[in-house]
Amino acid sequence: MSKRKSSRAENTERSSGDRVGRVERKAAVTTWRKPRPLEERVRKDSLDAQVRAARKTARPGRSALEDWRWLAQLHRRTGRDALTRILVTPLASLMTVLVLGLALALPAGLCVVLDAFRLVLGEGHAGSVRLTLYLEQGVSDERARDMKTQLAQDPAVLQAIYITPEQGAEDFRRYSGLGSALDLLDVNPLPGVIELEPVEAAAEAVQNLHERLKTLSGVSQVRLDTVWLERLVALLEVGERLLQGGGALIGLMLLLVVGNTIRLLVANRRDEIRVIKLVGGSDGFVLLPFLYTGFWYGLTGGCLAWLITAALRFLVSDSMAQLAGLYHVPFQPGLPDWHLSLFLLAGGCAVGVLGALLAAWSQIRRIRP
Amino acid sequence: MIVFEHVSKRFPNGYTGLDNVSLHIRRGEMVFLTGHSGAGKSTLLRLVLLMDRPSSGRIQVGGYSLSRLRRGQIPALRRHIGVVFQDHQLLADRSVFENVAIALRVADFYPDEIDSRVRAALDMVGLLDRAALFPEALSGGELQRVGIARAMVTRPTVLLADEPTGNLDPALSADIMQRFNKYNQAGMTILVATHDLDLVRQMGHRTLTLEKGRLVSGAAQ
Ligand SMILES: Nc1ncnc2c1ncn2[C@@H]1O[C@H](COP(=O)(O)OP(=O)(O)OP(=O)(O)O)[C@@H](O)[C@H]1O
Ligand SMILES: [Mg+2]
Repeated sequence: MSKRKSSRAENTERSSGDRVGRVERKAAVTTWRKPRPLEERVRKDSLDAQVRAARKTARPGRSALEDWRWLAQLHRRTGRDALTRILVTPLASLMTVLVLGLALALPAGLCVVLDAFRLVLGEGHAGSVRLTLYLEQGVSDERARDMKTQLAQDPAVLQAIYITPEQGAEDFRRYSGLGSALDLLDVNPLPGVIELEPVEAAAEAVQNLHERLKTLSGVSQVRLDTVWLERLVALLEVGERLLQGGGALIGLMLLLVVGNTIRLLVANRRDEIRVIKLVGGSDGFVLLPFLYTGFWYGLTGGCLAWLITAALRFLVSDSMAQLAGLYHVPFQPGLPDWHLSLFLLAGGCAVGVLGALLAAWSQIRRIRP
Repeated sequence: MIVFEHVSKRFPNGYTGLDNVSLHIRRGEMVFLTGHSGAGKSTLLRLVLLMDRPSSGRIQVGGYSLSRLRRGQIPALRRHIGVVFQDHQLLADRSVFENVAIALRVADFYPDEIDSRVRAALDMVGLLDRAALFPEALSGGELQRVGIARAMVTRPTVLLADEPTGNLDPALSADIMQRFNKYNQAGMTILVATHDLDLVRQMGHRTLTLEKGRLVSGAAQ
């Protein structure tokens, strides 16, 4: 940084000693630099000044604004050229872009699955605990209703719902898709069920209530619904770990894929690179187009991955809506949210540029004219 | 401007390309370099351009000892040396215009400046109407002229020309040489390697003669 500053300071110092007038230099800020007269360009110290400064873009007497303008133009041009090159040979690039897109879509697909889990564990649900009392077969409808009313008055119970065997069969028919199996039977095999929501969701309180309910007469079995909840949470954690670990692996793989493509491109353009170096192109000047090629690969790969993810979400949106309906949580089908979109696009670009940098830099440095 | 002190170049296969060459080309001088084929003319020019390193001896360009240049300074130095290569060294997949423009692009010129300069350079070598063609569509002489245009377009401090008129007819050769002369009068240091002794005699500049890698005349003046 300080080196950069000092060389710039040196440049301005030199230019203020130039024969170029102050007025002319001011004008150069607003209009582009005019070609300097030949005598001036070959004057005694010009080579010394430039070689000593050794800055790739430094030209004595150019203002910071001009530098920026020039840099912007360089990038625009290089970016456009790199894109044109890709478009001229679309088939060769297609493979790379496809691999990028598909590989990026993998973690995104896992995200979609995890979203489904999170939906089930959604807000207000994760904390709630449900106790399901399966009644004995002999318990009459009337008695069951009595039990439910009594339980509802229990200070430890927030809410109690009685589900008759008929209702249970109806639900089973509706959600399981195996309704016709029930029709084969003469009698409804399902018991009556009372669902309880405890006031306190803390494990100890729930456990106490659980023990108490088990001893009630007419109750054949009490199921505590925290178990599946815990399993689901654990599963979700596994999924998230997988996403992180797999994501890192996929990132590494993509670096290699992009790197390999760029490496071949550099090798193919060896002669061109030699000539550019002969006329004074720096390693950075040679590198820039390859970085842009990586960037375009990454961006198109990211877009492809986004499309795949969007399609995936669309495919599962029906089942997700059904799942959400079961658990009474809101679900809105739609495009990937901005987190995921940003991850795909920015991740694609980053992988493209980084892969190109890693592959091309050392190789370009090694090419000698 | 260009100083060789006891420079030798031995190739990996044991062949001696240059043998203990010492010479001094002053700033603003125009010098011819002659010698039979295989005498080492191109080898000498390659050393100035840092395409090769000498096996022994020291080379200075513009007051800089080439062996002490940092890696990042080499491109900066090359941007001040225009070179016409014997084998043209053009980019096959770029137009004539782009081939000339590349010398300006690496030296961070602005686009509108590039456009006018490239046109002027192509006009100088009589190839303005070929600007959009690709090298494969050009004759040997035309390729050579593109190389000359590329070397001159940046108005380099030093011009190295390796057989710049090898494929050109006498009239065109004379014309190009007149251009070189003019730039030389404006201060450009020019070193031309050539077989064409008639041309050398006509121009009447100092002449260095190489023979089997050894400098046999013209070193001191
Ligand atoms: N890389 C190399 N390895 C081995 N020998 C080489 C190499 N490059 C050049 N030579 C040899 O060095 C000698 C000088 O070559 P150079 O190209 O400098 O000759 P020249 O004077 O330019 O000849 P011409 O007029 O034909 O261009 C030649 O005999 C050539 O065979
Ligand atoms: Mg030669």
